Amino acid sequence: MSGMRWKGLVAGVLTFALAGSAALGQTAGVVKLGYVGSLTGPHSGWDVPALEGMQMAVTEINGAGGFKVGGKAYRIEIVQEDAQSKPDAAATAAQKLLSDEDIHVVMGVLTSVPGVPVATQMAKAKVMYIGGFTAMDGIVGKPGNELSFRALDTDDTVAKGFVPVVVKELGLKKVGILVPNDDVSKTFVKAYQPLFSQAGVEVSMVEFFQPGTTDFAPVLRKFQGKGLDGMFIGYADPDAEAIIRQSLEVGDLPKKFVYRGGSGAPAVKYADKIDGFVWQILTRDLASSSDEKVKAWIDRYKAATKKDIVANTYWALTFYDAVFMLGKAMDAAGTTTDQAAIAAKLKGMVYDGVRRMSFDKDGHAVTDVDIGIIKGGKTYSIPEKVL
Amino acid sequence: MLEIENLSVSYGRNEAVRGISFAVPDASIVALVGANGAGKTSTLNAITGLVSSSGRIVSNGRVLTGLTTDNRVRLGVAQVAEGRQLFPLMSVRENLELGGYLCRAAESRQRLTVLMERFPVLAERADQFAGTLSGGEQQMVAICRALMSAPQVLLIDEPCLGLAPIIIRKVTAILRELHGTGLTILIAEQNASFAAAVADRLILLENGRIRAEGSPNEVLGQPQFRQAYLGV
Amino acid sequence: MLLDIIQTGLDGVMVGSLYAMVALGITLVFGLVGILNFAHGQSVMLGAYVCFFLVSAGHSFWVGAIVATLAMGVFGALLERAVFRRTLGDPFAGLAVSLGLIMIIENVAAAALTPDPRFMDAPVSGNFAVGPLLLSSQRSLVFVISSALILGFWLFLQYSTLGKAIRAMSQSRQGAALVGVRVDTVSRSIFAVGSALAGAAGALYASLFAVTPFMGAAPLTKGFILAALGGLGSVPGAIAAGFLLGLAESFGSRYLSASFRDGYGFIILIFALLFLPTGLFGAGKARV
Repeated sequence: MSGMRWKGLVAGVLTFALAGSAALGQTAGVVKLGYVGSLTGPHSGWDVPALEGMQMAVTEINGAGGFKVGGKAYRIEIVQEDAQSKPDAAATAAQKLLSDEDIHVVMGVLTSVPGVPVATQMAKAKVMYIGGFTAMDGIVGKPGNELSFRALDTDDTVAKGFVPVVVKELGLKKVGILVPNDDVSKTFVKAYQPLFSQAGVEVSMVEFFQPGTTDFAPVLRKFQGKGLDGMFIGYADPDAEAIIRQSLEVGDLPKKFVYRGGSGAPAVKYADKIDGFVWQILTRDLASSSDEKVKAWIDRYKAATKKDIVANTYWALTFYDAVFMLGKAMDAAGTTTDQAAIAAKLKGMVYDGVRRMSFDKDGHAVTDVDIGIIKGGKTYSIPEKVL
Repeated sequence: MLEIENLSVSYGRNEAVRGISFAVPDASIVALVGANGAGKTSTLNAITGLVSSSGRIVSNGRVLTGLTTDNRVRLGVAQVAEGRQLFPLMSVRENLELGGYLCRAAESRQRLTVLMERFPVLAERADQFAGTLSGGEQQMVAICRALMSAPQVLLIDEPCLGLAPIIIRKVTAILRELHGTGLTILIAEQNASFAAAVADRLILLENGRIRAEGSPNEVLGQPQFRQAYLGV
Repeated sequence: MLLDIIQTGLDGVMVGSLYAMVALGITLVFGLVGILNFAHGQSVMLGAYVCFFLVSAGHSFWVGAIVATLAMGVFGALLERAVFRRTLGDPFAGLAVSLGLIMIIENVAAAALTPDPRFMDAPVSGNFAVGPLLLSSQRSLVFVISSALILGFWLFLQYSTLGKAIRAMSQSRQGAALVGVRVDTVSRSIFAVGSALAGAAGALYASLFAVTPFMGAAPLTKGFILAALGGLGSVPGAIAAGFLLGLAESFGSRYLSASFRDGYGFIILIFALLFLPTGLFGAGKARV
């Protein structure tokens, strides 16, 4: 190809592009939005739906002509990297996104092991990052981390509304706590114990079991004959299911269970043998919702992904609303590149999307969540007003 | 009759037996004598197939070469191995019963009864762990265990090792008695005077080769004998 | 209080019987072949999956358990033929190979079956009262089955011809060969028998606990503690040690701390090695 013809082609393409954007009304820009998450490996059950939710939001925004900043329309383009459920791969993925100078905001990662290296690198590079994993709570709000956000509520935030609802729903008076002997459990036991007391429930014993325990019979015996009516059973599905199953086996133990995890799966098989099981849905209940906004979102999700709703699908709502909020924050800040200004606008913004959500002054999400309940053989959910 | 032709045994580069040939005539006792490491045990172990060997081994017209140990036992060859190799945590009865491992149960029971009648001490100790017996008693159990398979050829490695003189006399008596029943016996023995007392023929081994062969008096009188034993 | 102690004791012997089954296979293979088979735990895991999938497909637990046992018997025989036969006489090679096998089998299982824990429907559920005692139905069933298998296996070793040959071989390989025992064949069969026992233990584990690709690790470590505690190669030692460990864990978790559960076994082992350096039943006394 000769130099002349090449230049001519470039000019032609440019003209076409300009004409195309002119058709949208104004000269359109493109905002690159980074996504990092485990698209493969054991953590993909969280991060694949999370990416799907982001893609839905982006498609919807772009389909409506993009979002406006200072009267100019912008389209969003997602640049995605796979963290492979491993911390080293996650760090590499984060580096790749950081090397693209057009990326000013990154979202993704719902699990702590690959999440921590991503969040720390983003904070160090002063790039705005909205994550979802629990350990993010220890990063958000620290001096120097003003650009770090978490799109899911902290334990404390959820617990405040969760405990009173649970106590009322299950009619609890005296509970025992049986959780793994690890940092996560120790932190949330500290948060939940006083909340139970405030709700008029006596926490008569707390037992920590060795992580990886499969046989709970001996430790469950400690809870026998204590007049308990409920058990608080940690945050991991396999532990919770084993404890429920073995409580029924051992006998003479409470049949009401409070679960800090995000799924009703541990109790499904035992629904007609137990008196109650409650869990936390950190976004919205998709399985048995009566909320019109949720129902409409489900239809859009099915159309966009050609997938059915499964137990993990609700993680797709982690970043869905946050993408819209980001657009509004950029508009309010009048910039798509000044991260400090955008972050400042995001903090304190209240957004009534599929989730009703906001970010506090530190960057922690404060959002309404749903509480999942299995009782009397039925599965349903009730909304928890947090905001 | 047990015939050995050009038998060699080697462990890696170390040749323990170097192409020896000899025969044990029916109903006779032949003793392999020689110092430690002369190749006596290797020869016995090669005959029962515990170690691999080259050459030809024929027992009562049946070629044993290449057969597994259990098949050689089936063809009537039994061995009392070095160290007796009893099952120390099994009772005397179980040890003897295992001697009839390849035989029919009825035959085995019958032989056990006969042996216990012949050696009342076995019956007395029947329920005791073999490991708790005295050395002489253990030797007796080991020989009787080998007899349980009704062998035609019996190989015994060091029948007197570690035994008191009074016990050695008893073992001698037993071997003579077995000899009287027409059993073909090959023993490997370091104790030359014992070997001379029980055997019809002696074969002197040194460094895996036969140095002398003949009646006990012939072999004991030869200068090679003193050389092989005393290294002079 | 007394009632509680009895209940806790029963919990202990129930899991102890499972531990003993796994330790039995390890100690047998070591006693006869001199190989510490670290891949033994994988037979537990694969047996659990075989049972899980059969039960999930609508077959009864009994079909699942029997097929798991037989399948793991075949698996043990294949492992012996393909791998351990080549490492005979070289314990270090055997050790290295079995460690490698753990990695391969576990990771292939994790890739093919996903690492998600699965729970199988047990043939019986709930609990029943015996006087003032409240017993878990499935645990009682597991205890009965595993005790029957252990007792059956012990009787097999004591009284059957092959069982006597196995014991004889563990006490004197040469002596056994000279009475006509085919020592090679018996060595091979012991891999199959040990692995089949582990498969049966796996099916029983699956009826109580979660099935995961990594579930073989705990029974394996415990099996080794037990085999060492009982005196390597000793069948009565391994059985006694299995029940002892079950009791220690059960009483430790109940009356001390549940967060130290797996530590109790090691404490017993350390004390045993200090004060009974040759295992529960002394040096070479209580072999197979």
